[in-house]
Amino acid sequence: MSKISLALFIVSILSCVGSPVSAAGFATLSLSPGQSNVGEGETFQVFIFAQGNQEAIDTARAYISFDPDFLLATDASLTGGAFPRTSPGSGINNTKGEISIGGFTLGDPLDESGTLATLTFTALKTGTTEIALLPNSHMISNGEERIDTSWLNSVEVMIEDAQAVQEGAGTLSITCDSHPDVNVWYTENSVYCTWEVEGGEKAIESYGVSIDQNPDINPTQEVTTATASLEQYDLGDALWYLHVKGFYEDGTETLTAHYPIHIDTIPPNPIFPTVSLEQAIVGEPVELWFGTTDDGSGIAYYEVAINGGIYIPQTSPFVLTDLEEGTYLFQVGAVDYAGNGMYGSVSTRVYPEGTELDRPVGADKEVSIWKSNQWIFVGAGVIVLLLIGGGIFIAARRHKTISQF
Amino acid sequence: MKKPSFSMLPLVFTCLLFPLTVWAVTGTTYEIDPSGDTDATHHNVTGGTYTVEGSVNPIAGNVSGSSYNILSGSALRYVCGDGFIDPGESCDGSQLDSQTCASRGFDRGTLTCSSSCTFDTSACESGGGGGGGGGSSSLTTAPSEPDVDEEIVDTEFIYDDAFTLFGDRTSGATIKVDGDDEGVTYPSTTTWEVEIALEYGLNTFGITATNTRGTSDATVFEIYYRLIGDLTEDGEVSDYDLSRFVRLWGTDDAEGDFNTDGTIDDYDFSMMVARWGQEV
Repeated sequence: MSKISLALFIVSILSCVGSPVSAAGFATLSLSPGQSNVGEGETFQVFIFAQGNQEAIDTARAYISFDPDFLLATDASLTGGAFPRTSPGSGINNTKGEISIGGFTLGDPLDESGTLATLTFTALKTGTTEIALLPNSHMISNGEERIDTSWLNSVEVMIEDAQAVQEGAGTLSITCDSHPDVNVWYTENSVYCTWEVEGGEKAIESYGVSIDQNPDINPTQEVTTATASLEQYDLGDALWYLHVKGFYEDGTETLTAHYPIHIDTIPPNPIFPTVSLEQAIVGEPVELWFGTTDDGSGIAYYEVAINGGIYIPQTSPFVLTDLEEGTYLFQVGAVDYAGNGMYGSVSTRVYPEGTELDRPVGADKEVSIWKSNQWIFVGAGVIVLLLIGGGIFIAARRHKTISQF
Repeated sequence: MKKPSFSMLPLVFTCLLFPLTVWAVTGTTYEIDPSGDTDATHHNVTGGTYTVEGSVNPIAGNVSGSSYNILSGSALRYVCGDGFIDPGESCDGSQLDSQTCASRGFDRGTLTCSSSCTFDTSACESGGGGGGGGGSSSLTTAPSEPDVDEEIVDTEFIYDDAFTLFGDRTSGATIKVDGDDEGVTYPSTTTWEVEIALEYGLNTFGITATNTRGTSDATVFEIYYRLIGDLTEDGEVSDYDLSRFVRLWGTDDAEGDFNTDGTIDDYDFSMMVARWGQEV
């Protein structure tokens, strides 16, 4: 067999081993705007648009990369309503510069166009950087991949020096007693904020104020200096921004201050914990499995209480060993970043040693040595093959060297 | 006669009264009503009237760190009616141990559990003819292939690690699953059943019937044991499974009904999320 035909054979074999769900389609994901100019320290948003192209997309996920030296991702939220529920596995990693944001719909799948999510970044330092949609992103219809990856794009972000303060103008700062930390999610949905101008050589005539979900907007509503505060009630669950700007009598103005307000009043989705054994014998480990999602701030942690004891944070699966005989009621809570909780429970009963439980035939059989150590065997096999190959290679070279003499 | 020593009286009183003081609930009325629910909980009596409804079940504890501490509790009781099939019980409440009228040798009907935690087959029926007679006929031929009951024969997958196989057999024949008759029981002379453990992936079983005249050909039964959430059977719980799952939302399709409550809803979703990213 010639080298070319051998290569073709290998390629054809490899192409047959692909994922069974990797069929391509016509649905697309793209970032917008394609280019963005922002000032250092400013917050800005990038939108992920989804185009169904008649592919009936019910589940979508965007994997995004960015340079964490230049950008800090502060939020990734499903927006637009095309995919209203958050998929598991969504999150931001500001160390690696990665975002995974997935959504799905229980209603009509997406055939036309819609927005998947909105990403919010803060520009950390001047320079040019990029936010990119990665090719492992998904647009899925009824379990089948339908994404056309050729439409995946990136956003070029040019970060410039921060906007200069006009001569004589002061610096406006906002404080919100209802939401004192700009990075924390709160269940409080009524907002009370005040602001003041520090420094400056002129008197403020009025303020421009607005509250919305855009991180960087010029405030529209004008209020007098006597009203250096804002009260707003029953805001919906979202990441809001309060924008305030000061206007001077001479027509100049302060820079606009933007204050993020995180509100999440809705608890996580229902949780249904399960145990690996509903009936166990003393000495047998019992695994407690649990998980759910939260469509607002996201799941912060899970907590477990046994038989009415105190709740302690745990991760799934929570393996309980050395259980004494008795009945155990496991109460599992999912708590989101705002502190809303959703709870579920499951029981298991542990019997004394020697109890004959009705177990299915074959349940006690030991896993074969091959199955329990298959990766060790595979690894050892690869090493042996490499050693043999290396030996043959060295022997062949020696033989060639000797024959040259 | 020597007079009794009064110096011993305090000791006698102490010995008599100490056991009583251990269990006393001072200054309160304490009542135990054993007829309520049986959930184990952890209560402290702090003044006032305190009523414990239900049996005081065994252990109260709390979790600390990656382990847990048992705070109190003892005296586990196996109670018929607690929802657990305990040793010596065939069933308990709605827990029927995967048994049905068919698996008990009847043609149809509804199997229930009696108040003594034994099967109640009074609502099971066997159709039409047959019945009686019989006795032990002399065996002249090897048994025919055993049947897998039509109720389960088309089951393609399951999200549980155990499955109850059952069906019909030639009268009196011994049934072996993969050459082994361990665990096989015979609800009637013409039926059989066995609960088998499954491994992830496709499980194939050869079922044969044997009598003194020989052994039948094998009836092959295949069933796929899926990881909960792995609707696509690719061995991983991922977005592809989620996509399939959402299409089943609100239906009773067994494919997405992981907790087998008859509805695909957030509880099934929670079970899928608990295994998100898991591979087998």
